[in-house]
Amino acid sequence: MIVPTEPGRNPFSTCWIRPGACPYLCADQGQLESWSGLLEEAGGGQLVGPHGVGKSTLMASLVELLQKGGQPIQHCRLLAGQHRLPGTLQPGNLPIGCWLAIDGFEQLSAWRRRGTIKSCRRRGIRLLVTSHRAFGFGHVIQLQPGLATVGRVVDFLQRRGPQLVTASDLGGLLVSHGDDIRELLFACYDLYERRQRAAGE
Amino acid sequence: MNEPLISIAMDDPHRHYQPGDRLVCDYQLDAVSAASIVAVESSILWLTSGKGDEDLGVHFFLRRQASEAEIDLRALFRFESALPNSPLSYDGSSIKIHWLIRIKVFLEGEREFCQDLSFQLGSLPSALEATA
Amino acid sequence: MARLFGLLQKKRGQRTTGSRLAGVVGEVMIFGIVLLLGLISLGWLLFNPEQTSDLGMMYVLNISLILIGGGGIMMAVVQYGISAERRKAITLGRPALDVMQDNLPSAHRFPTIPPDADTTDSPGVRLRYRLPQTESHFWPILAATLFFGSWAIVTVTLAAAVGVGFWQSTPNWLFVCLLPGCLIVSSWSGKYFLQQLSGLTRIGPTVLEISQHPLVPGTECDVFLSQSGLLQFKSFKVTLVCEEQTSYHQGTDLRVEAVAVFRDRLIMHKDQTVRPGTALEDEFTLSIPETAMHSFRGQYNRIQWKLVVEGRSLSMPTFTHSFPIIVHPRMKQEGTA
Repeated sequence: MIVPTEPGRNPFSTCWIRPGACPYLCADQGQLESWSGLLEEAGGGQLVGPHGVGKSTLMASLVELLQKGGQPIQHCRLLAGQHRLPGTLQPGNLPIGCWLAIDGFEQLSAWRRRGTIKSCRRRGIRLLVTSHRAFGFGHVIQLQPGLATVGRVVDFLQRRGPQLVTASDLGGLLVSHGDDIRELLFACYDLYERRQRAAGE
Repeated sequence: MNEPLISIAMDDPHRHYQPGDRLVCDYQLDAVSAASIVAVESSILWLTSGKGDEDLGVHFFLRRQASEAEIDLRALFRFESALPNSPLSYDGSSIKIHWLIRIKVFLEGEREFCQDLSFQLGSLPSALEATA
Repeated sequence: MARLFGLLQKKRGQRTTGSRLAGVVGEVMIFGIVLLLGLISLGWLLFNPEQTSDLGMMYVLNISLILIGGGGIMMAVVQYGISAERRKAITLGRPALDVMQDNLPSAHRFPTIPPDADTTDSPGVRLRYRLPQTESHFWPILAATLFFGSWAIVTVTLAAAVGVGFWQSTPNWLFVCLLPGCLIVSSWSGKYFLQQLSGLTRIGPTVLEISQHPLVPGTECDVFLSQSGLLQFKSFKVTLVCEEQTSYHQGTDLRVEAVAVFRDRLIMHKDQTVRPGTALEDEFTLSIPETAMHSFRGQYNRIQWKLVVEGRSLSMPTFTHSFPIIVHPRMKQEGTA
């Protein structure tokens, strides 16, 4: 008898790993709150790291945390080719003291980046951005997830089903993919798929 | 307020259909007051999952508004549709195609709740192993 | 209340949180401004036509603003409260506007399966249909030509300037320093250009013809191959491949992956020579497995069947030509799909 498969049965499908779908799981449980506090003290900051390291995921988790804490926040994600902020999110149009979270800050031109930083500073708007390098404002969080963080993510994703990707797999995967956690999770997808089929046979 | 309870049942208890078959579906709502329901949407759709962004296609759609005829939207309701020839349910390596019935309930205050029930269209086994 | 006025939208898979009302109000405001601009400009134009040199163009511009603004407001209001499923259903109900889509019945009968018009409109000589090839040689050879041509001009000009400088005993040392680099780039680009040209002239057209199309799982069909050119093949093979192609967008990153889930080598020739005026020809049978998945095309995901011709030569880099084929699902009267 053929049993209909449920969408997202493989816990490493894109619907489970895209930013916002999976929370940012720090190795240290209080780390997220600690970072949030540091960013608030510094009046904003940057999440810095290479491609696929989890910057967008961390930003989504921080935005959610700040929102739960009652902080007014505007969040936007700049896609490829989008070189300016939407009009409603220009610092001049935002209430003083609110947060402006920009995912993909480097999509803006250098001139617009400088303008945005200056405008936010002038209006007391707390700027939080993701980028591949630091731009010298606020508190900088350099992302370098290690085996412990990756292990927590993989355990979280597999929490509802069999744990087919184990801790012993992760060491080799981390060596192969380095800081690119996204590629590591895609590799986990393939591994999970192979083992699930082998178990089914 | 608690979530409404959405019960869905298909005429085939194995939930396995072939292209061209007629799918008959019943649904009803519980744990919710009739006055708070704004609309109920029922759809038969397919979507993909896997390593790519999700694609979605709607084969059948029906929206029932509370303001139309004086009916209790919670009551058992039946809808049916002839299923298309494609795409078939597919359990591939990087791509999977799933067929579902989706019932979406819209309540006052812009709240919405959704329940899915998957079914199989066609009889394809898992993706063939690549051979050299 | 907070949700009603919340401007922050958070996406969870296919769902978003946040207030649609605030989004619609914003859209209506923006389109309202466009509409107002169009109306004011049109009013000014009607009362002051002599102030404009190109009256026709100004009327067109103003009417466009009015249509965009008015249409945008109507769309925003109509779409308020429409779910993703309803939006998709509305799209499906709209008649096709693409007048080039001449095989509507096939697309209607088999949703998400690519149309087969490219093949069925292309008759073969030996068999019924000739398969179109996906790769084109035009752009690589054009790029190689332009690149080599431009560097050759720069190098020749620079060399002439250096030569004149030395002749006149006033050499420009900057040009002298740049010349070796330009010579290296020109040499490399010339070699690349010759390789492309050689490939184009020595690897002749690859022709694949098929006796039926589209194909159906559990059936066979005949295939005819003809490869012409001036080559000595170490190996030459044709493989039937089914590939799953996915694309994943994350911010500015686009990740594309193709995985072969089925591969069947149909023919293999070794140590064959093809001379001008002759061709390497073969006829063979192709069969689609009974439990195979049909072709599928979504916006982000594809299941593509194709015939892949691969030739390895002693003197040339390996060439690969792909010929897509369409596989339909088996229908009830033929057996269970």
